[in-house]
Amino acid sequence: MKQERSTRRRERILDAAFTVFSRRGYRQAGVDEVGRQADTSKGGVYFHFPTKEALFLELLKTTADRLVGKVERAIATVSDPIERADIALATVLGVFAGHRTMARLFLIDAVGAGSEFQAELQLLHERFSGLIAEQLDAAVEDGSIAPIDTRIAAMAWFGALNEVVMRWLMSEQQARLEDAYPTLRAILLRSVGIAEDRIEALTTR
Amino acid sequence: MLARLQPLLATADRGTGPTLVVATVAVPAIDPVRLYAAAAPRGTIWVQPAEGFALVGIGEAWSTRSHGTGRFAEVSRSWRDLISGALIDASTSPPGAGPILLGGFAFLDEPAESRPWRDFDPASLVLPELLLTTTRDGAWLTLALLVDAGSSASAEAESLLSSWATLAAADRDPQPPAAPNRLWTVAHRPESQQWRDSVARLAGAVGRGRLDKAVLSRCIQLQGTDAIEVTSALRNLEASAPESTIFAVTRGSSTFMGASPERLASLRDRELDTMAMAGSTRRASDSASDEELAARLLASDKEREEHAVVVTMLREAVSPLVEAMHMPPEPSVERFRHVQHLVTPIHGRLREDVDILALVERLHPTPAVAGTPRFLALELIADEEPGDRGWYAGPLGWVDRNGDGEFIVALRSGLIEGDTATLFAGCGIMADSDPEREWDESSSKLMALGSALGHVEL
Repeated sequence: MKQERSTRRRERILDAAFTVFSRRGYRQAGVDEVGRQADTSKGGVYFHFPTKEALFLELLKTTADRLVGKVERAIATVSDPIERADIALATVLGVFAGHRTMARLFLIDAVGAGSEFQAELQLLHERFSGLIAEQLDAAVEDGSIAPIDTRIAAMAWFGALNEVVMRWLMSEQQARLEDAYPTLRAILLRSVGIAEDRIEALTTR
Repeated sequence: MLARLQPLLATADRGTGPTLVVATVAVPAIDPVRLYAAAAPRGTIWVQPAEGFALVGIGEAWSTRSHGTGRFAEVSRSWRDLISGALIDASTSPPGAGPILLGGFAFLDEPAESRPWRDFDPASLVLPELLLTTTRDGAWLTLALLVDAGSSASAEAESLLSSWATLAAADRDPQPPAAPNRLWTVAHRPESQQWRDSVARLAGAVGRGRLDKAVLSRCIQLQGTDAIEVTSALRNLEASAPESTIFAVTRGSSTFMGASPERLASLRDRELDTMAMAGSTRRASDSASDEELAARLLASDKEREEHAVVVTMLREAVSPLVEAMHMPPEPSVERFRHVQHLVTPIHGRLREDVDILALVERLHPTPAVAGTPRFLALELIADEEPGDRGWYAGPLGWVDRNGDGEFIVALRSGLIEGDTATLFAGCGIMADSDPEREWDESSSKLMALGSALGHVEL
């Protein structure tokens, strides 16, 4: 019972940390504010997370895990590799579109925050492009696409997605990220030789 | 009516144990709120002005109370047992007449610890002695009596009918007070800062992907210069929220009342009628703009996803209980007073061995009152909300002898006791929820009922 309470407290601190980091940006955020937001003391925060960096890193890790988990679950709903790749792309875009604050925190703030964060972000990139590469491999296997270096292709796909997301995050206007999806999907699928009618079929819900 | 009852009473008299005797007759139309006022404080009222449907239950022929995780099943079982041995003459009655069990359930399974809710069990429903059913086609009176073998049931029945005659003869509402009741807020539970902090924390939890949505509620305590007139409040709600389900349930010395727009499920002739409603946009000032907003709503991936989640949950909750289920593949847009919602109606034919209570058990609590995922949302609500929701956001409604009926979710509601009222309201917290805006939104919701009670000074 006690352990459960401790876990809940820990999770609440992470929730509060997310809010405070979002509000202040990583550098400006202070652990005492996180404590106040979590309805505990500074010491209460340090009990679970020795430093601000540790707190942010944990936030990054757990969020990345969730994102990958969400993509994996979405992929599992279909069996065709091209559809799976398409769903992976749509899911990541959808998550960022619905969580602009989180996207900003992790893709912009974290970049300047230190090397451990860089490493964690790099890991996220690799996990995601790994998922794409897997689907592209399966597509080559079943003859849907011509043989290609799927590792590079997946990196390029991820690069395109990353650029679109970053531009959206940096932009002043409240453009909808989802609006970029049809174009992004079309060019990425064409890039590996998927036929137009196949792309068309994927566009209808 | 007496003629209908006599043979049943005679049979019951010859029986071995207590037997439920029920008879229904058509009666001249009566204004439900007026009848409720005449019978107050002993009644329960359920009015759906837009449908022309109302129930007013007076007195208690039988009741059932329960708590714990099995509360729905227990109520269902007790009701079915009672009905199986009952002598019923309701041959001419429409749905909503005949023996009807009327009442509600608390938001949570376990008994409330807090004072305001002490008389409201986690499950508490009543079979009234006298029930008025009003539909567009007319009005009916159902009389119910639990008869012991060899008892003076006939005299009791006559006495009830005499009460009815008196109540039905009321030709006006009780005299309204000279000036509207002035009410002021004496307490916020929790206080503004604490609630806003909770909103921020929950927004953080949603923002980092821990859950998709959590519904956070709060309450205010109002004090009036005079006793709060439930009847006047009901009249005000009839005017301000005719498309809602307006209700008042009395237990002990408190009355739980409100006007809720949120329907949970409706069952008629075994046919289920429910709706997934999630994803919304505002109303515009002109029809063309409304159309455009609706089109954008339908085209929004984010809103469609939010809607799809609710459809999936509803489908999963309902499918074990139905033989056949139909729903359109795409949602449509439905217009309400201030908002437009994506809706997917769900119809199905319920299995023979289950009733509306089984359905309510699976559906409650919905994402609209708890959040998603349900288990985690409930945990966070328990952590963040200092007070007890009691019956607020709980299922409330009626079930008939066939297991058909209708239940709503008791939103926009409050507890009235003498000259005080405790009102409840909640907001769905998402990643971008701003504590200030949510506080204001919950205030508007509180005022929906508050303004019906009297003139509220903030």
